[in-house]
Amino acid sequence: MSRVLRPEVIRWFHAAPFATPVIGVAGGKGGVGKTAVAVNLASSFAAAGHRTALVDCDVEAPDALVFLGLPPGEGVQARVVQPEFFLEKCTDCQACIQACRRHCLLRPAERTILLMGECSGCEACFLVCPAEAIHRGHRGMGTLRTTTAGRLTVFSAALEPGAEESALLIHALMQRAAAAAEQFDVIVVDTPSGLRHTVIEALKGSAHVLVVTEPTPPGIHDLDRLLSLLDMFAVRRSIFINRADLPGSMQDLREVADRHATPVETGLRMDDQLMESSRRGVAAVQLFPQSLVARTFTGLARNLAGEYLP
Amino acid sequence: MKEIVVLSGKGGVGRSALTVSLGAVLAERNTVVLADTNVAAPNLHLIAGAVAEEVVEDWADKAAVDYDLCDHCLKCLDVCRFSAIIGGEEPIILNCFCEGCGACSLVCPVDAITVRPVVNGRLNILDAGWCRVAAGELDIGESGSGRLVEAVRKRARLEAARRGAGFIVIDGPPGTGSPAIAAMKGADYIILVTEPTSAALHDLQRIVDVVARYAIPAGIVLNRTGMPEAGVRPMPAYIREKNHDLLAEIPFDPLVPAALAEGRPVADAFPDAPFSRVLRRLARTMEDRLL
Repeated sequence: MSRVLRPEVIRWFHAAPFATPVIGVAGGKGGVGKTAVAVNLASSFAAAGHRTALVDCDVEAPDALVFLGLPPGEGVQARVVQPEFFLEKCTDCQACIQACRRHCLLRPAERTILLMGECSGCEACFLVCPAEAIHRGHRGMGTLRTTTAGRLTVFSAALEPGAEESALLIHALMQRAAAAAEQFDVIVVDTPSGLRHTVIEALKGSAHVLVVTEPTPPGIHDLDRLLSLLDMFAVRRSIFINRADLPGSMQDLREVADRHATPVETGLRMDDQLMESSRRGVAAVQLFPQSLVARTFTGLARNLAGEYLP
Repeated sequence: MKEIVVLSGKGGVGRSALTVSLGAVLAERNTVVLADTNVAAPNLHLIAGAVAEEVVEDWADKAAVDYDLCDHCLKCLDVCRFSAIIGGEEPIILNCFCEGCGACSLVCPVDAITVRPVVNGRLNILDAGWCRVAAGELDIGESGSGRLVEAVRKRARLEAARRGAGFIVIDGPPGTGSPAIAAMKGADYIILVTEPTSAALHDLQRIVDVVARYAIPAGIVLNRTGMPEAGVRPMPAYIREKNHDLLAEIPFDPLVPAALAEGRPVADAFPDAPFSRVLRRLARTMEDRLL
């Protein structure tokens, strides 16, 4: 299933307009513990004295603030362009209707254009209108938030329920974090589940991706697919096995890891304290600082800092 | 033929396991077809123990550059609103982000860009013995899942019609965006699965807001109750306000991951497990309401 990408595309993936190292956290399957890992890793970086940004790119189900028990704070609307028709200028040429490949434009009467369907904001209609009869209107696609607690700053975004602009919103969110990147020593990026383009948008620029999985058949199946994606873009990564004692096959998991030449970093068994911390909305490393969970993430942060931080 | 779609907002709360087991207990009295619309990470078939019988390719429109014609003006790069074109010597289309809108082709002065269909996923038809499964699978890193979700549902209806099936049980995608909408539009009933964690209940609120826009009856299943330190008493006010029924509470049951590891529906592998008993009652509730 892996495709061979042009070297320019791989360079594009790794290009970053800032020097701050980015650690991505991805998982393929939903609910394997991506956000728990991202939140605890970021909290561990912050506790070790690093100025840390956590970017929550799971814009359809944004939970990092919930895991951290932080108030959402004030939001800024992210918008997408939508055409507005100034019919007094319209020459009735219907070029816009021809150009709209989504068939969102309707001409119910002479010199009358209506936007009916789900406009993606592609602006093709603007490009072909000879009379400048189409203006740039906007609609909201989501809300961007920046929340700071001590040395940890969370960049998050919530997609308008039902909207289709997940990837565009992640793009806007990452740009927002990139603009502030110089203020941080490290950036942790949490990603959406599934292996859509949204994961590529979120992981673009990551120096290292922590791949969270569990040894169940669906966990291993999606791990294989995620590692194929990371292979295509030649991304450095390691595997974090969560709930390692779930019934499944650790051997199958290791075979997939070996096939993709990916080291298994560390992991956790089913952990009551990690579960309780996510239930209570406090990072486990803060709630149970002496626990195995806390030591696991502190050690992980130390290793990654040693490798990627100046 | 009644369509039940299972959604959750948050991933990993047990949506697919519930979908398969609900299908299995409904199949004790009805003919059932399952559909997997989580096309970005389809693994319903692993849980249902289904094997592939037929594969149909799926397509999406993407821009393509004819480099013999391209004069490297890069006007295409400026107009792409999806950041799907990168430049350098020559424009390169990032297929994963291309929406096939054709804006680039409109500004190309030498007509070097065309929009044409490209295979970016497939529809798998599988058989589990006790039911047929229609499952969508998007190529890794691809976009445009809404169309494929519609194709999956259409095929599931065809399979159901051929067999005179009473129920189609649809595993929805996680999240609250357009894939979730595509999975639930026109369904007869929506089951919202959640668990008593802050994050799952937060995402439940988001999916409840989405569901509220469509006049489809919905009920909630609270999964994995009674975990070690269960302190959280859920069903916050916003759920009660929406008048969604609390259809079932399923206690945390270690036999669920055990059945998952075997690739069998819980209700089939462990018919007397607490999970299976609740699911059987849920199936009777669905029959009462929908048939």
